Amino acid sequence: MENLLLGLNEVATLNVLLAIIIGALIGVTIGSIPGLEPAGVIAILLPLSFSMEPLPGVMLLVGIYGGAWYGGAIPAILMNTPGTPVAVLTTYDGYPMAQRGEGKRALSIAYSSSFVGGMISVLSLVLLAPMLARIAQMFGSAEFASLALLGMVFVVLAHRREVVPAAAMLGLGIFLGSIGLDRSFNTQVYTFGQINLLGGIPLVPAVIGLFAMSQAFVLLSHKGKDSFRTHLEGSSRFSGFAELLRHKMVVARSAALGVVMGLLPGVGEFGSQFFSYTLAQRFSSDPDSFGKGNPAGLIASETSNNAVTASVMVPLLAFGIPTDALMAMLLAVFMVHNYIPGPTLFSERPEFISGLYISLFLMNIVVFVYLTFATRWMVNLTRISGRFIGCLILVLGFVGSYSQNYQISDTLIALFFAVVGYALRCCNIPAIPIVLGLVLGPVFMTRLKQTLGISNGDLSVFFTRPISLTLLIITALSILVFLYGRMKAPVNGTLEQARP
Amino acid sequence: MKDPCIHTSSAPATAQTPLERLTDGEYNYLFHTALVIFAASLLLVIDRQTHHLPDKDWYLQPWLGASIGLSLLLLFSLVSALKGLCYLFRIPASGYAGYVLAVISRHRVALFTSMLFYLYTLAIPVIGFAPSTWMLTSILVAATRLANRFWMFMALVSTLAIDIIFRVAIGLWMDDVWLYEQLPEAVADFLNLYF
Repeated sequence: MENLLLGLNEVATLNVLLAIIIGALIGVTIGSIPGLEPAGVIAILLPLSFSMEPLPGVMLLVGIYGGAWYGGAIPAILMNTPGTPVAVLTTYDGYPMAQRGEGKRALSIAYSSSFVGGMISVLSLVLLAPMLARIAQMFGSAEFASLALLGMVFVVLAHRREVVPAAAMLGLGIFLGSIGLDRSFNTQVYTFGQINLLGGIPLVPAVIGLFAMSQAFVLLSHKGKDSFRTHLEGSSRFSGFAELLRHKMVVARSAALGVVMGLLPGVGEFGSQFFSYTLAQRFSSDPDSFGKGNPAGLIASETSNNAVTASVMVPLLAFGIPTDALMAMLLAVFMVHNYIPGPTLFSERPEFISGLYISLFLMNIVVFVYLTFATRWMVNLTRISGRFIGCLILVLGFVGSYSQNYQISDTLIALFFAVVGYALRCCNIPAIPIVLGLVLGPVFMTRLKQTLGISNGDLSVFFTRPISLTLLIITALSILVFLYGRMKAPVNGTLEQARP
Repeated sequence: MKDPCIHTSSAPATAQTPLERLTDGEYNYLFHTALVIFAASLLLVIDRQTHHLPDKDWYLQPWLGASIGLSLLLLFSLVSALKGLCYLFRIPASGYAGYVLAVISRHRVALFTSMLFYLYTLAIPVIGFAPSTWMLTSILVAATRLANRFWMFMALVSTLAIDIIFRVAIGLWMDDVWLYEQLPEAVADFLNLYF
């Protein structure tokens, strides 16, 4: 109760409330514009969040992240174009409903499902994070090294169709993370004599380049019509909740899957929505109607998407291990303010943790209320030209990468990563492993050195400690299960065949 | 042994020429080959770019992290790059130039934009943030076939909005600008502060 009051005290400030509202509204806006991904905008605003207090800084970014998943449903349902990549399955049933003149009903279902999924996700964070943080108190260097290894392996395996290039990108990230001054022995690692590289590859320009500016290149390269005129039909603004009551099992199953998938590194929204949708179809009495405007499909997709948004923070808060690119960016915000995620954060900063929980609940309410009443105007955002947005992203990318250290060299680093990111997009190679390699690589190396330093180089220390051993067994099993799945796949189930 | 270049799936790739297979989307093996060369080159200079500490155990060596990362990059990029070799051999020698041109042509907008962005970073200390930004957005708007009054006006409005938000409201600091320094001191101070 005391922590709750402390949390309320943290949240009830103008800075936090404004950050929640602005973050959520930016997120919804981004989600509503096809082609504009939240990761890029979050990367651009990352330096701005550094200058804010920790809670407003985190909530600004999380608000964008959460809001975008809600907003992505608007173009998915009305235009058959996912506003965010994770809204792909929303198009399957949302668009056919809109074509039948049930656009408003579909949007209401999407908002209600997202709201319920988001709230359940925050609840899971409240329950699971402190529990796992208590487990994390038993962690030593060996366990953290094993956990970082597990995180990296999971991120690679999560890109099922691109495992080989994902592993290569993880290697690139680990390499980039090793560049700079080795502070243990004061020696330079791959700096090529450049003073700017002594501090290592800066995370902010790297993520801005990889996610924001590369996206600008894609938008600018787009040919043909890229703006749409949409119209909203149908009625019953709040009918969504009634639909959810009719599909209670779909909601419960999708939310549970979303929460669990959020806990697993690299799996996130994509994995959860595909599993949820497939299960909803399998257990439906009318599976043939899926993809033709079945509300259950829409509920499964939207509930599971949003059930990930808070649960994905559990590993970061409990162990200090980010599981996706956004969590890596949030980790940077924590570190800038000397808030070290992990068990100590719960004991030393209970007001921050409680404030975060309350803010996440508030964020979901703000987005839901805003979307319910402002959809009429939001649909106009779909008319903005993607090429024009690309121009603006480039300028904002410059501002974002420059503003952290006021150095033009950082913008050139961002440009380098933008070119790399664009090439990766063209080749369908995931960029997320680079960011996680950049963040988890140094964590792994530091913990590895600490562990082996204590054991005088004896590797068996990883196998004699139960938690470390368990984590390594999970890592090995994950790889074996993946390889077994690959061998069992049909001959033509190759990389080429697997692609849509 | 099965020819790895024979496409076993029923995907549309069967209709592709070797050149298309090399340059199209995920089959762009040129990129993987570039990664292989990149990783191999960096591994070759590892003794010059890191230090070996003879009195320290292997796990404390500064080269450990970099070598793990580069080895992973080399190994897995090599797997992807090798898949493309067979397609490369099927292109007649005279077709290599076409291959390179095809790659450049496919990404010309990105290349042009990158060059423009680089020039933009050079122009800011010379003519200032707001004029450079306006020029960048206008050129890009024109180059992407949006050259009409509405989008040009939007470019100007967006530039002003970005300038007001970041230079005026947030106070984003920038070095003094050469062009502004040529103006009277009071004007130069004002322009340096806000534009």
